[in-house]
Amino acid sequence: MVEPDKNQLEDKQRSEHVVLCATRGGPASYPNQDAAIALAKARGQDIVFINVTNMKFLDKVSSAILVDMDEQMEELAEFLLLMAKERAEQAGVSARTEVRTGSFCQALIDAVHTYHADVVVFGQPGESGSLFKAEQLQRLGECLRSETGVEVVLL
Amino acid sequence: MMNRRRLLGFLALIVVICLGAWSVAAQEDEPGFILTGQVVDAQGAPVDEAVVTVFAAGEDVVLGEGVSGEDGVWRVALDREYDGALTVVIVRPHFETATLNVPAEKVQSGAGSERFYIEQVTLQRHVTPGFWVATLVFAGVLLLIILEKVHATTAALLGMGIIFLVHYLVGMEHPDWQILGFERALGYINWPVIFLIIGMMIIVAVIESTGIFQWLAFQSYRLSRGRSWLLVLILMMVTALASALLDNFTTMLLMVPISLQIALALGLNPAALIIPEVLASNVGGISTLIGTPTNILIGAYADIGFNGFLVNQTPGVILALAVMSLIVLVMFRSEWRKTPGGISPALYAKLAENGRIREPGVLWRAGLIFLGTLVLFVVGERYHMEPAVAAMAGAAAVLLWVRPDVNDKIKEVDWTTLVFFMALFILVGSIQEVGLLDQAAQGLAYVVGERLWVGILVIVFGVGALSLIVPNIPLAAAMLPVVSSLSMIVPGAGDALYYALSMGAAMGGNGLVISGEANLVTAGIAERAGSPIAFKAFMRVGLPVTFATLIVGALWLLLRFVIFGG
Repeated sequence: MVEPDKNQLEDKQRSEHVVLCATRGGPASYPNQDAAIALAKARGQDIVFINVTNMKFLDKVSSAILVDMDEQMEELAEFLLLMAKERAEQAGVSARTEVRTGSFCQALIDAVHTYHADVVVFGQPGESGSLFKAEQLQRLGECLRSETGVEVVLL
Repeated sequence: MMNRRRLLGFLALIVVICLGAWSVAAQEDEPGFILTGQVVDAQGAPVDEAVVTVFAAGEDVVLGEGVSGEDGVWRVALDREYDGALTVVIVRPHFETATLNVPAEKVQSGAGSERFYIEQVTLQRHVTPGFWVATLVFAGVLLLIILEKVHATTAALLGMGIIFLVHYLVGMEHPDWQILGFERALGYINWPVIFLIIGMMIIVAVIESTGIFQWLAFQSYRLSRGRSWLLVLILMMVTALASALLDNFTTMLLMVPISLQIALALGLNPAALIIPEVLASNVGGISTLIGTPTNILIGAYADIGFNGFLVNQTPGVILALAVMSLIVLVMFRSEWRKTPGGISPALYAKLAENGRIREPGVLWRAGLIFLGTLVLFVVGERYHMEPAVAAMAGAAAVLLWVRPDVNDKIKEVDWTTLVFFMALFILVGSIQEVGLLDQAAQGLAYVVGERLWVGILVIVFGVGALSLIVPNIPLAAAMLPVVSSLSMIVPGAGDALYYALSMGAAMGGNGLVISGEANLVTAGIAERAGSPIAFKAFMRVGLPVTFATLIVGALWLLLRFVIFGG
């Protein structure tokens, strides 16, 4: 039986521990993406950009929704995450992307387990507005910490 | 044996039916004469379901009863022997009771003929508790929709429920609380609108899945070759055209995601592309019958077909789009000065993938059927065919030829929207029934007088201003009876005021981000993509565009209907 050498083990651990960055993707999210990229670079870890799509904004619409919006929003999210990935790679950080749907909190908990993330980064509302209020983000951060033990960085 | 019995039974049945018919005919032939008259409201519109009771004058003896029909005409059969004076009492909820005294000499002269027409009676509106309930319920529903406290369909159903409960539970004991009964309410539902929407929903649901509109957006980007000012102009034209053929809301659901991708890839402020798109979409939709829900409502109510909108609105729409383009180019001029960065091969490939035609086979079959449906809209008018018939025929053809999963496509029909429309029709019926819309029409008639040009300006700018905050579907639905009354009073109005309503409702919907559902959903998608559109940012462009396009639209209608006389 051959024992893995120390470098191989470190590489494996490195690949299993990532910085998870929840992002919507557009210009309002660039500062948070940059901060997450800088954090991943400082820790020598990969970064996983995750976008959680939901269709809540269509809930109170009375006009007919004849378009498969799940598909439309997923394609949009994939494109935005591809842009984030390019930003990370330009900064010398290896990046992966994932689009999930449904509850934001549950999607992050699942992603933390899937990627063995030890840091989750997401942003507080700025002038540009956010889907969540500051208190909601605080509660979300606490929920993530208690459910997964992960370090949460609120920007 | 059995067959003979059946035959005898059948013959007996025929004899009984014949005897019955003879008996009815004999009754009709009995000596008597028909007292008749007509009931109208203050605007001269016929009043139906007015109960007319004829008494012997000065006595409580009822000589006959009748009910006015849709034309407001009532008939009461009287005994030819009677030659005394008559008292005719006309009762109709929400109107003052009218009493007519017919002198004996007039009755005697009239009794010589088969029919004796007394006179036209104008009923005056009477404000009842039912009036206030219906008015408050309608205002409450509008407020719930504007504030987005509940889904619009829930709000409309809630309002409808309150109307019925008050009508039956209180109104049966206290007639002044009556508003609108269930059976009468069903008459207010505009079924041609419902069927037209169902048909178009099925066709559009198939076409949207082909990716044609995303492909058009991507081709616009390629065609512009990095010139962002050209890109926005092409995208505005594509969006306006798509809105005229589909509807403005669906068009924006399809165009916003791909436009956001293009803007972000080019390093442009996404608002510089998607705000002009939604403005163009709201205006482009009014050039056809199917381009906006308000046009569908107007078309069905006023019997204006596809050609009517196309011929009378399109030139105004083109002028409005030209003015809008100029404003947009000026307002976002700093964006056009930016030098777009190059797109990476990976991003370009992803953009091309998202902007591809997904189902070419479906596209050409569904496209042909869609074209055929448009032709049927145009040609069908010659044969007095409702647009709903063309839409349903198109839907059937799509299901037959394209062969999508029928269950899926029927499920994609947005029943929530259809229920909203049905509840809305009943709510508008309730305020029409109690006289609120008559009062609005009287007020408007006082301002407009008999001047068509004033009517056009008042409707375009009044409805345009209201559309800034009132959702344009309920607004248009409520305004239709008002515009109808006004059109009867203003000489030479024809359909001009209906077109003014269409322009006002659509162009006013551009003012604020909350002025239309297409605006709201555009802002919603942009926010989820991390490119939020601030209320002020939208208003900064939306209000000047609204003002300018309302002026252009009104000028076009004045030119078309006042100067060239329709």
